[in-house]
Amino acid sequence: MSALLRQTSRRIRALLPILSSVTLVLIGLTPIGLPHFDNVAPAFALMAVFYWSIFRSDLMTMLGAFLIGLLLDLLSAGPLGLNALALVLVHELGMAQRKVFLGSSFLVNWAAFALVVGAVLPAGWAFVSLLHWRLLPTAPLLAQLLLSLTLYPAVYWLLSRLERRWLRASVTA
Amino acid sequence: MARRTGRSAWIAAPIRALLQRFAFLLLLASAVGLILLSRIDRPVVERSRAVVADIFEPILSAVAQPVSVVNAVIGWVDDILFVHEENFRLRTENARLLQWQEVARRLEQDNASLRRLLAAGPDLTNRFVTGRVIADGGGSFVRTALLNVGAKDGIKKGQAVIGEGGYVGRVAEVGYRASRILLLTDLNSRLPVMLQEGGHRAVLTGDNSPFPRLEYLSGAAKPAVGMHIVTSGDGGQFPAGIPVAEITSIDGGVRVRPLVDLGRLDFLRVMQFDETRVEAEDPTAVLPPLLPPASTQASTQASPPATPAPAPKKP
Repeated sequence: MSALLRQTSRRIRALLPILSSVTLVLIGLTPIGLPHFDNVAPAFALMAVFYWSIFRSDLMTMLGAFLIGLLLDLLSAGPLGLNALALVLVHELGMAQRKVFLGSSFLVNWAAFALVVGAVLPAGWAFVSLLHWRLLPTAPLLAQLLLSLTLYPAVYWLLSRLERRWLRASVTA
Repeated sequence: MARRTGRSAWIAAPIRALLQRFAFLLLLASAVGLILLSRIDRPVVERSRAVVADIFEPILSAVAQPVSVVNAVIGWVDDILFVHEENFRLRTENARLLQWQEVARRLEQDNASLRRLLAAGPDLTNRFVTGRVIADGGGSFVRTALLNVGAKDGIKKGQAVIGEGGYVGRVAEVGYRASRILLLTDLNSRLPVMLQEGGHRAVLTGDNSPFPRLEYLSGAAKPAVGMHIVTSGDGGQFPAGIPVAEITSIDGGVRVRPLVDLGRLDFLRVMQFDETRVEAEDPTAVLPPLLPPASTQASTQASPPATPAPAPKKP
């Protein structure tokens, strides 16, 4: 009985990376009226997928990243598939470099995140501009970049707390 | 998993790697496929968006309540900072409005007696459904909001959404309990409008910036900074005369500022407008024109030439 209970608890905890990412997606969608930011939300989903694909890539699978992106696309009414594409790429980048990041300090991680977010968000902007065949305003893009970079440490701290508390090495996929 | 040893691991590793690569390419291809699909088959995409919005509506509604408190606090701090200027502005506005009140009373009487003369039907009373904004676009590519009312409340696609002060956007997708509003600043928003003074028609085109552009304005129109823009009612989705925006610049294309602060949306009203009732009750549709055609030009201000001259037969 207790073995079954332990197994169930482990299964649920194994979902934590996905669940925390979905929660961050939903938080990113809440209509917070920050003055001067014109409804731009930080790229929370990107942060979560980046974090988990480095530290628990066994629990944040590529399909998971894809589905989180799809959820964000469906709920945010942006071009369907764009965030899915972006998050799959971010997952791949995180996976490819995870050996480098696992032993390094937070600052290195933050710098890497800056590179990733600095590549992915402008690429998305360029893509949507192409899709509509007109240059979209750059102010929201810059605001989103800035917000994402400044809030990453907070999200990193939160997710690493979650990981340490609930996902000790015992939990595997 | 860890028990896999020897030969099987030796074989499994390359296959795993291969599968991984295959999955990566497959997912990339699916994402690109979805992007193409959303360009081709809009109804399917809209349907799936509505379903997902319906599923997440309870969670988003629950989250939106504390958020609304946070917004109220932000707004409160903002108000405190500018209380003196606001007070001054309100005093001058109040003085002006008192004069207008007199004018309105007189016009109301005139209007009532003229309506009696014309035997016109009663004014249309629009029904409103109030909903709360539970999510916004969240990205930098769209200007939309999710409202926690849907088909079950009588929301239909295309209905006008009104905020504090005027037009906010129109309903773009309807789910059972949630619906999506396309804000007038969105790239895909095209709103038939007219200048309040003169009634010149134009189209208000969003471009994701906070200041939509006024396009297709007739050459005869003389836009000026501060002029107000209202809906023209063309297209029949909602009535004419809903306040929309104020002209902020006229050099290098006319740009306007929406009357509603779109950065701080909370409760919004969806206007239940029945087009068929208007056709039946619009006095101009059943009565012959009062003035001879020669003098209609002088009266364009009162009745913009939207409806074609109706057959003057019906009683």
